Amino acid sequence: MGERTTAERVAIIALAGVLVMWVVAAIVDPSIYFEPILFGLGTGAIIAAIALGLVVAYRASGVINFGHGAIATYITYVYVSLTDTGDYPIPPLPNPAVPIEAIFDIELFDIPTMVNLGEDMGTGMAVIISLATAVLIGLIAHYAIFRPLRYAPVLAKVVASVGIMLFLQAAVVLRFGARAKSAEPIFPNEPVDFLGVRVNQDRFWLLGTVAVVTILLWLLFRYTRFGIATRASAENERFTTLLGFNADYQAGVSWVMSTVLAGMMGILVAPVTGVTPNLFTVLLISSLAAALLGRMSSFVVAAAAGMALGILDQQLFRIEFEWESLPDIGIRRALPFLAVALVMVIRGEALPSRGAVVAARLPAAFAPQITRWRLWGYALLVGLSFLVTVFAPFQFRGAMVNSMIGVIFALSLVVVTGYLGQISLMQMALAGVGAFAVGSFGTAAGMPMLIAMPLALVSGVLFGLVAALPSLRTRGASLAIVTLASGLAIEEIFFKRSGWFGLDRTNKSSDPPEILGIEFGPSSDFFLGDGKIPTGGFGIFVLVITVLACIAVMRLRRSRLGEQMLAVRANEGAAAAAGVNVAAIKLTAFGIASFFAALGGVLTAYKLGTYSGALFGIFASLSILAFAYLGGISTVGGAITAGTLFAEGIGVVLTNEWFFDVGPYTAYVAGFFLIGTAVYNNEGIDGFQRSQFHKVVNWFRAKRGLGPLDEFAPHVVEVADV
Amino acid sequence: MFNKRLLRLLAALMTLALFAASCGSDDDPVASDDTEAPAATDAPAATDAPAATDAPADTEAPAATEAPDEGDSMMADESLDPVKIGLIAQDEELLAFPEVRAVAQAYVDYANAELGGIDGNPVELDVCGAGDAPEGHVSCAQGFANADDVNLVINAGFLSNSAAASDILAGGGVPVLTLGNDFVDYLTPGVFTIDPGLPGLAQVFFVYAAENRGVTTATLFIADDPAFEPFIPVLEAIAGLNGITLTETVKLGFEPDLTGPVSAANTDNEGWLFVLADGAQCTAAAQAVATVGYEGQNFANDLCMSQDTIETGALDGWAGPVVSSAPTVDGDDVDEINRILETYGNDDVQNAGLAGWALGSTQFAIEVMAAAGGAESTRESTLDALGTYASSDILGMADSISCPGPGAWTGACNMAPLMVSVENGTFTAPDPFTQLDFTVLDFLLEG
Repeated sequence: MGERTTAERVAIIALAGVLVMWVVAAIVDPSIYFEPILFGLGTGAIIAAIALGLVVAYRASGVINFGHGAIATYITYVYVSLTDTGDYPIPPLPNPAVPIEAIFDIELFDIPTMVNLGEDMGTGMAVIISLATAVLIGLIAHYAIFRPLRYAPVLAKVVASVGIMLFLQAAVVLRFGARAKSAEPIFPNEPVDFLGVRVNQDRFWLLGTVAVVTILLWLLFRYTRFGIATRASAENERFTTLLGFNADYQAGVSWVMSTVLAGMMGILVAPVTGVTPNLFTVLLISSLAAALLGRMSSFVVAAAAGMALGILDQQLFRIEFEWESLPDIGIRRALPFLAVALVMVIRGEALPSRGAVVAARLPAAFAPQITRWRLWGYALLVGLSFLVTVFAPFQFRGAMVNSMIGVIFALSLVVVTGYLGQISLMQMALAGVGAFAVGSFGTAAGMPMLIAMPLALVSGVLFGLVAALPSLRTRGASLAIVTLASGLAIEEIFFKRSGWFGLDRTNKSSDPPEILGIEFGPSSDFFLGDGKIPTGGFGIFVLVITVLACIAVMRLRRSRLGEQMLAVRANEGAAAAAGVNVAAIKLTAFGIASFFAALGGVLTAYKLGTYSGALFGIFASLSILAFAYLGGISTVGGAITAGTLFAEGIGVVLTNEWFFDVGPYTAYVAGFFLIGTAVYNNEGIDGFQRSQFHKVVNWFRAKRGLGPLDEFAPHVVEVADV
Repeated sequence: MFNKRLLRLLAALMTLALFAASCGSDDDPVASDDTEAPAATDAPAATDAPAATDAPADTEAPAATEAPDEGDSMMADESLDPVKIGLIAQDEELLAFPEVRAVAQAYVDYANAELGGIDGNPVELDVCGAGDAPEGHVSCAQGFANADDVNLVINAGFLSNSAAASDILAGGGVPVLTLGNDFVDYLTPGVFTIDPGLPGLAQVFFVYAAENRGVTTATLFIADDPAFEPFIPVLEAIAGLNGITLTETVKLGFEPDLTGPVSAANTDNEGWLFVLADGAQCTAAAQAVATVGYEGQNFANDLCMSQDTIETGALDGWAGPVVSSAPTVDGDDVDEINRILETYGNDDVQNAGLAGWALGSTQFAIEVMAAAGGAESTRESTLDALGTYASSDILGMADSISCPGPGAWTGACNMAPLMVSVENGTFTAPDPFTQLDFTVLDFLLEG
């Protein structure tokens, strides 16, 4: 145990003070301060159970598994299906005979969606089959996804886990539908009176189960050869391997334990609440907080923190309910995450990172030389975009607008993640600040666009800078979680309430952009094109902004500031030693990224006209990050590629219009490709395209007896360059 | 030159192509677009058709609502131009209502097979699927606004998705039939609904609670969600109008165990009203009510009383307002609704959720298009038809559906929700539709 910092001491004393006050209050008024403890047990146990699975997965391979909730959901739906009808789902699979079937208009294969295993299947058999499915998912997760990623940067693992989340959630909807399901109770669920409070007894059973699992995990990892070896691998894999332990096997077993825990928890909880396709993913956020308080390594602390969060939630509810004069500012939902952010900032670099044999880098931040040919290429791209935006059929025009806004979102991640190397999971929250602010400044306050839009962007930057302060003390997975907590706090406190950065009533409205009396919203008249909506005026407006944004980020990459960012990304300590003001560079990068995020939000507001906070939630931030990574998170070209892949973007619409309508399979396919890219193509689509193009060019040059072009060598900035 | 990575990508692309191409045959809800109507011989006798002989009083009697002469072919003539009706269906992601597409298509197939379509022209449902995000809804709305042959759109988007799409459609002059998500759906020119929405449902609830159950004090449990928050003062005001005092409001979150918040409520109140977001939240709330042992009257909104939730029996004894009698076992028209859904529906068909609204809206749309001139209709004629529409024949709904609504509530075409009770895991409809006066809600528009 190391020496505690002053901040840690103050925090511990403050926490102890609060606990003492709570105990006194509970004695004085038990209905308000004691009953919530019992009422929080049920939710707390569920949060704790999910947190345990998260800790096991993190110990296995250093992954913060955002897909954990989706795994729990899938297994639970399998269980409910088996007990209801005996049907076992077959995930959507590719049909190898499609070309033949298409040519000859015949059907060779009719792939079933369900296999019936017997309608009168008992609960026990259903549990066994469901947990066997969990084992299978755990093995696939390890051997096909996270084993290849064991030396990959944190970002790749985050993206892969987001891919799992999207993939399994989509599989649930495709196979079981989106409706809520309920399950027969496994534990006795009659109410009992306990210390004067009426509580369902299944909560105690659940609590007991979690306690037993926690103790078993603790014993397993503390006293068994397997557990000790796994802990040792987490500290130093090379050393453990030299001692003859099989780190790969340990990780595989841990993954299976994690997914079985997820499935078991889902099966036990389903009778309490029913299950919806995103229920456990929503709960995952609270569990993440609990797991983080346990530093993703302590089962006991994570379980206790989960229980505490459940109890704290009930306590805050009761206080809000009893003290009507307290303003409802969403503090009940946001406080746990603000607390987590605070704890992590106080601790600094808190999360133990896995000591791998080698650590892979983030994708190269390629900076192409600006040659005449390349300029022509850019001009051609802009010209083509202009033509599509103005003259293409309307569905392609709309798709171009969606893609260009997606490019701007991706650019914000290119700056903060690609250049600076910091993972931010709050970019869509900052976009929301821009969107809500432009509605307030522009439509509500009646300011002209030329004032409202800059004010909205400044708002986004200010929020971003405040939220970025923790980045001065933490990075990597820890910063990812802190930014996620910040995004969630922004969402809860602002977007779900009426107010300046919140709703008008149930939605927010924004008038179309207008300059000098000329309106150029998506439905505004425009003199070019076919007159159908969206008209070309808004497209040109977005195109101009997107081009300027791309140029700005390209110039940033080549600027001294950009090189300093890359130096920070490469090695903060070395950068500081080389004279780089790391704190200033970080805040500057976050500020620039916030500007682009808010800009994307403002354009989204203009595009939609009516919108709500749901658009800017944390899962949207996760998706944006994942798609930016898929495109290529370190280059402007990657951002452009990512833009084509965004929801209703040009890539998606082209595919739907010209080839096949993916329709409800979009999220399923996207999840599959996210996983594939994270695992097998770290550079993203843009990096892959670039490397292939380079090979072709150099092949032709070699044919002509010329050497390879220097500019095609990956351009990586080292600290010494700065 | 072609390294392993390239081969992997090519393989992956091929997999995607094969996968995506194969998806269509894989119980794809999109496939329901192409659902063939059963052969004429499968259709029940024309005399089994619903009470379709009463043409709307204020409209030109459309073909679809006329009783055919004995022996006439009731199949629409497929060689004639179809009359298209647009449908924006939110059924591609997590927050999905697959029953809307399925039920609407089932009714269209029924109309083509048994009612002769519209003046003999087949009705074609032009479905645009969308997910949870508004981009898809906006894209659908733009598509319909740009389409020359779609003069009426059923907008089944939820909350802000619906608002974004309706803005575009109404702005483009396309008449819209929508869900009653918020006041804007009743107040926007060109937007109409047969969903009385939360204000309407609340009103019938409070009327019912006061008159039939003798409730004078109640606790409001409402989803802790921004879409519900603005309705708190609305519900308090409507309760007051009906002599009921809402003594407290408890916001329920989405945590799995709601015992704590529910336990905080006053058990002395005669009624507890749950206005919740979905069946899962409702299940947790019902469990909490059972744990607390509350013995008063429990009421819930239609989103809370989802089919899966009521089938568990957790809501037995509860009551709530619904738009249509479709999910009940003994309401008006239920036999005919079930026959249509069983005969023409696919796997996604159900009679709960938004099914009643979807069925009624589709019939409403077909009748409006018939009154607007069928194959010759325009957007203007459709708007005109909506401006004088009246019907007593919408399946599962009250006898008096008419547009426009009263006063400022021009979009409120149905002011008669139905109170239902839950018994043995099913809905029963012990009370008739309650006729409301929306103008008493005018105070909500002030400020």
